[in-house]
Amino acid sequence: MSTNSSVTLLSIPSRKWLLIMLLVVIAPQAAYVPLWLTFVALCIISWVGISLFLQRPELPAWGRRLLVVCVIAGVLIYASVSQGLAGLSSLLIAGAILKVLELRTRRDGWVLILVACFIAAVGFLFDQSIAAAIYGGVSLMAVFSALTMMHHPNEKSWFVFPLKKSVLILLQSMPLMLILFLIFPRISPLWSIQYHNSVAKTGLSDGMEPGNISQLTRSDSVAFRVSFSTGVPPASTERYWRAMTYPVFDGQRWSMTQESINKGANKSSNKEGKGLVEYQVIAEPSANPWLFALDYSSGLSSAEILQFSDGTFKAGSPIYERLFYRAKADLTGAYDGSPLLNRARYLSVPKSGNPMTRAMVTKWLAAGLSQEQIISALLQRFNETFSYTLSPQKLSGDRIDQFLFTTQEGFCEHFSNATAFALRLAGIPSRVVAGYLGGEWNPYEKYMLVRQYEAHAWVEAWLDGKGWVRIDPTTAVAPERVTLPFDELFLDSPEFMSDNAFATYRVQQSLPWLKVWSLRYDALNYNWHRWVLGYHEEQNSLLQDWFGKISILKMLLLLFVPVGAVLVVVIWALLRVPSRKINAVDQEVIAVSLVLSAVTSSLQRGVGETVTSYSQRVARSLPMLRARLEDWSVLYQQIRYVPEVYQTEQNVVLFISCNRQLKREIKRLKKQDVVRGSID
Amino acid sequence: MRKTKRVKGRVKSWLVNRYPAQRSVTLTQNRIFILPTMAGMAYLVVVLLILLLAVNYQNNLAYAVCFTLLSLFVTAILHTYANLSGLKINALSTEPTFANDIAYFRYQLHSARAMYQLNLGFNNNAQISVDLEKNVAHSIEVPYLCSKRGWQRAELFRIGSLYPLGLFRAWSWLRFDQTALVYPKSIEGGQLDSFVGRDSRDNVTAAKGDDEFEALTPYYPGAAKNSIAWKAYAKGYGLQVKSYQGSASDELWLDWSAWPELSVEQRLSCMCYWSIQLTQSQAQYGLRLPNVTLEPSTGEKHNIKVLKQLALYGIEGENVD
Repeated sequence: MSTNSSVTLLSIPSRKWLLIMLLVVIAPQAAYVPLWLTFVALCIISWVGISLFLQRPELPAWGRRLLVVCVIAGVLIYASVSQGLAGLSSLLIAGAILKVLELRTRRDGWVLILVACFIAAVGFLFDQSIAAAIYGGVSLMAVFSALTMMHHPNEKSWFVFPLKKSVLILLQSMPLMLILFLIFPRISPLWSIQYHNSVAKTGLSDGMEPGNISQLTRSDSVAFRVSFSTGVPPASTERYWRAMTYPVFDGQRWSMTQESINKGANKSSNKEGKGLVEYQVIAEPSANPWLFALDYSSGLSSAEILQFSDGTFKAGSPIYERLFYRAKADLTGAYDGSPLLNRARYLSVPKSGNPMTRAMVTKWLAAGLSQEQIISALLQRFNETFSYTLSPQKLSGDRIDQFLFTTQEGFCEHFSNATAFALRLAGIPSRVVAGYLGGEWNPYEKYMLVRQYEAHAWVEAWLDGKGWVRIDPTTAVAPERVTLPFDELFLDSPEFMSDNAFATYRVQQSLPWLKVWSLRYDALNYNWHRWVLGYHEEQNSLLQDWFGKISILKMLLLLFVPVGAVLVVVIWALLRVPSRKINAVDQEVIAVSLVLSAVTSSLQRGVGETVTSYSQRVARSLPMLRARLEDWSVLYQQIRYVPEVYQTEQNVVLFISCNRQLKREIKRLKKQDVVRGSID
Repeated sequence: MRKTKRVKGRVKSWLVNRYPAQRSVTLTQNRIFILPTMAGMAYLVVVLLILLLAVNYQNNLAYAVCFTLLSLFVTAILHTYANLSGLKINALSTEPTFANDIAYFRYQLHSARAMYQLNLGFNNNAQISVDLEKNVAHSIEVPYLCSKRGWQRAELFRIGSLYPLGLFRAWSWLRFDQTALVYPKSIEGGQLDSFVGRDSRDNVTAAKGDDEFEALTPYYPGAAKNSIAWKAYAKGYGLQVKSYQGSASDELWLDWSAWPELSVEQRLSCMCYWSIQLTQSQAQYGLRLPNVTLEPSTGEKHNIKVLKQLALYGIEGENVD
């Protein structure tokens, strides 16, 4: 049986469709395979296409063999050099391309179809956007059109017919697909795969030097999105997203240390009450492991997330794909009484450098100011004479001295740098915290969007009896940094968002509806990320929300009941015999019969009565219509029973006019009451 | 190999017993079988591979591709089934043929829905492929290689389809109450003139010129084309066949006892050959078999009568008429 199908040759139209399919399926992958392979693929497809569509000779056998050897060698070398998916993808594409050269039998077609299915799935490992998903649907449509064409060598409508059929079958399959997608249990990976999806490192870095963070304001790419369980965002003064702390200072650069992992039970997790916020974060791929959490968070969901003693969180490995996690934050920041470990680390400063700052702090200490007074004195100083700018003057040498006493302008990193240094000199344990401040609230989907340009640095100081206290020196110089959206604050600064098409951004600001649409578009993307791409994170809670406690029986019912219903509808639609349309000519006869029966019921056409015998019967009752009725029945027979090739348009026209006159005459007779008289 | 053959034989005999032979069959769910093809199996393997990909990369769009392909596999069952279900097949009359030659069993297919790429054929014989328009009757001739003379019953008849996606094969076995008459294989042999005792061999070759036109008889199927009176047809008298009157002295007999050196089948084959030859040369000839005698006559009708007697010679239970 199967031998029959394997030797079936492919028709020209089905080879055309296979070629179109291949072109559609591999087009989006062109960006991920080596350039030469794209070039070879284009050459082969266009060569085979020309030979198919224009009926030109094909490549000779020796040329094909040479090409096969060269391409396979090239791809194998490439796959051994490159790691992971790009190699796999090029292997698949090269195989499919070479198969095109040997497209003879139906079995060849099948090989191509199956490889194309796999390529379409692999494509989603590179790109998971909405556009990619729609394109994936188009790819599958092309695949199944080609498959339909392979089993239906229809020469006439070779393009439209299979397309229609495949779209119909795909649509009919959608309900089952959706149900499978919803309830199929998402199991954890069977073996671990390391693949680096060529994500450039973005966002904060593991150390802070002046200039690091202002660099980030050049980009408006998304850092992460957050939704809150209450549906209400925290106040703008509470939107401090901590990513990491920098306790070590070498005079130039603040950097991280190996913090100890906090394994103990979360002390704040059993606290309930006001100030406790539950939220869910979707972090964009950054190629860095650190995560973002509201100022003092606990209880991140996943087991793969590490919590550190400084209150920061890290993923187990760098984030190459979107990461979802839940967390709780205690916005009141109440001190739980635990002592400060490693006090010396938070006090250490280089032995020399920045003499003016040292002198200033010494003067304050000599004046006997308390810790709080020293902090407020410093902030007071910032508030009076300093300015907040994205483009400060370049500093060199004793940078903190220069900043504090000469330039007196800077970005958050300058302020936090100087503040932490001064506090350490004053004997107050302190550290620099890097993260994000702010976020744009999307009212349509109720989530907060935090962009790279909202990166921020601030200081935390250890005050006895209060624990770590957040001090944001930037707010002293520019309180609007907290209250206003960042983009409004720096709209006129040339450095701001200089990596992006800033012109479009300005246009967006001037056109409110464009702003609304961009918010809506982002909301769509957010839903896409959350409910489709991140469905494995949501599946359990969603199914529980809908169906209560999940059991296998329920899931099976959920699978079989709707699927059964859909399949019944589909088979009904497939087996339905289209109801026979009544011929337009027959409808005219019915109309005449109706008019006559309105005159006398005995003149209605009987069941199974032929038009000829009917017209003869009517003519017997109504002799004055005899001639007209004869014409009428003859015309009817000519139209209905003479083979179509001999039909003329004229007959139909004649019949219609004859019919009209007949009805008119009957009505006139009825008015004159001739009918009743003649019958009685 | 032998085992599969035995299993196949058993399945076939079960099928023969399951369905009575009929003249007309409508395909319904108790006659249609559906199984995945080898390609369908390969497709499932690819679906499994994509599932592995989706699981390992936790990629929900790859899951979606996997489930789309799987759902399509299920939908394809219905489409393949619908491409056969409701098909009505009528067995038509069959033209006689010769042994070792192909008999064409004729059928009329009709369906209220359009059906595509139906493959029909007897087992181990060539398959023919048909597309059906809706509500348009379609006549087909299915070849069958006949090995023996006599009545050839229609074998189990297979109708199948891969449409639309080739993932599944739907098929049905049909048994029709339909027979084809198989004449003996026509083999040139034996000397006719040496047994009739006359110089009829010369007569046979010369007969054509001597023929006297006798009468026009209405057309009957199987009449030789060159014996049709085309002139009469052109005048509007309908199809008429010219019959000729050979001279009475030219009477020939195809006699069973004429070739004692030949076996039964060889003898029948020779008689078959001569019957055709003599009819072509419009000679008068009769047939003498042990159980039946046909008086000398000529023409296509006579030939068919003779051939039928030859075909059914010695076959029991058949009404030889």
